[in-house]
Amino acid sequence: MVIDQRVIGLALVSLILSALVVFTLARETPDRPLEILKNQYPTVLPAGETAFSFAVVVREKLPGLKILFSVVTPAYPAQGDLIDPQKQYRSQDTPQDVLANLARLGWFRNRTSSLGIEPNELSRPISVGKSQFRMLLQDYAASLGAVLGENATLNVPLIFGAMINETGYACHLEGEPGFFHLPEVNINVLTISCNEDEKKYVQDEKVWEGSGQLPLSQAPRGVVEFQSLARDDIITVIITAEPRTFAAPSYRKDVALIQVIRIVVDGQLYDEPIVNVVT
Amino acid sequence: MAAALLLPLAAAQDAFKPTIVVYSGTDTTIAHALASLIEQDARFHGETLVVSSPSAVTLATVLPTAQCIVIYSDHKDHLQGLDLTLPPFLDEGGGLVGMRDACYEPSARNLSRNVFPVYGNFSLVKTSIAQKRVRTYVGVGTSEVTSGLPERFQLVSMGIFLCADENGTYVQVPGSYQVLYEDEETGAPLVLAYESEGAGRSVAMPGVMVVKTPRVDVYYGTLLADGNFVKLFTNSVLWAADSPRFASLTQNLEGKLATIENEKQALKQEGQAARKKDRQKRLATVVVIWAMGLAACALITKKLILAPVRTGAVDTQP
Repeated sequence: MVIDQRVIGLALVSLILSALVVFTLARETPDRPLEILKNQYPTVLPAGETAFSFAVVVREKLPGLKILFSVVTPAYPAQGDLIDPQKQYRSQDTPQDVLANLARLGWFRNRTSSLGIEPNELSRPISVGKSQFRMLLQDYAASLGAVLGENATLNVPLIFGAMINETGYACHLEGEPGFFHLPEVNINVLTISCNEDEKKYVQDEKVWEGSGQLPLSQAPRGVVEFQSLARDDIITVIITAEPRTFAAPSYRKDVALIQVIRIVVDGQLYDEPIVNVVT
Repeated sequence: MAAALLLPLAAAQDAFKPTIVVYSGTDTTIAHALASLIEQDARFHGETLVVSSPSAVTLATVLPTAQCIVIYSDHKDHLQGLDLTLPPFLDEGGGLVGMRDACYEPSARNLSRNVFPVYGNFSLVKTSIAQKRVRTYVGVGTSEVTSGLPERFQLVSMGIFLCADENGTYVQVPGSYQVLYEDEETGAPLVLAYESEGAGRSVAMPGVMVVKTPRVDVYYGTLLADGNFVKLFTNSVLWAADSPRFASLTQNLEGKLATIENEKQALKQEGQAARKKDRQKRLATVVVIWAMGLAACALITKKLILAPVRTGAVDTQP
């Protein structure tokens, strides 16, 4: 059988043109520089060990990527800490009204804002059980940490928050940058990896020589930072925690903890912060 | 116009006023009285801030304008968590003045060793009012804290916290602190000055022990009306406040904030430039590949499709 040369020619031309189109599509700039592969957390905090996993894949070359973890838990301010300890909130009150009752935040805000230091604010509706809450977080950690240095802000809760539901039930929140609430007590293992390169942190007293594990006290304080990332690099953070400093779920009226994850790409906040509510 | 220009400048100067934080537990009576003593001192040019909870003191440790923190405490609950937050403040060059339980190990834990190195493990408290309840201050060292004060004087007090053996006898703990006044009765320090490696300064006064009840001999009002106490206290605050934290943090604060912002912008621009370069590189590759592909197509068209037509090799049978 003799095949006409023209047919072969047309077939080759079609093949080349299709290959060019496929190549062009494959080389197209992605819409987003990264994609969240996994954000897994327990919605109800169990009594035993539990894991929080977070993973992102880089879709294009990135000079700098930071993933900032912070945790807030319900706070019960002392009487001396509240402007009006007897204050009853109404349904139309806002989280700002709840925060305004916190005496120390008032003078702190006045003094820091006059210095040009402002908090990062995050306002978000959240669901707790069947109840809808409005939540506000004011985070001074980044701005103050930059001025004072990380050591000076250690052990100082610099995230203030409040949530209030439709019945006027309100709750104060307080926290700090970190992978978990009181990491040195509650975290069993913290794993941070970029592709095959993995760092595993365990409680200081459980570090064995030669195990390749690192003490938790040397872990970054809620910050995962990578530079010069290539396309398809995968960053994973797994927090294995055993909550030892939380009230039993049946005694809690509200949340156990709220994990906030912020992604900063080249110095700019990428997308909306991720808010994981654990009851 | 001139007034408009001066206003922001005045606001900035106000913002950088040094702050002395005063804390006396949830009841702020004594704190307000102590703050008033500081404000009345002509040598002081800042502002005072009275706080009423340990969490507020903790927050004050990260206030860039906080120059000195004064603590008078009569209960261990008032000091909760401060053993974690005050040592970094001192290490960063902050000033501290601690009275009463702030120097007592069972209440203050690490504070009584790392910040106010009295190592107080023994409390000598006189509850009987049969005798005049005073502590006699005997000068053993000189510094700005003792300036203008006599070598020996008495201040009303219920007692003293000291480092002692099981018999209650004072035991001296070696350290890099300086005892300025000692207790005539026990020989233990009544005023102790300490400078940390980070140039932070602290003054410990383990023998300031008063009550809020007016009819009692050790009423705080009596102590605060005593000229020697006023001088001792204000000298201590001013000496402790003269540590480098305030100056180093507020000096060029606007510049520091601008630098942080510039770094952020630079990183953003670097990112944008890298992305632009990446896009251009990608476009160039696509253009080259398309050019090569189209050239190949042209060649194929010429050699395989058009050539047979031109040479008449194409079978034109009906």
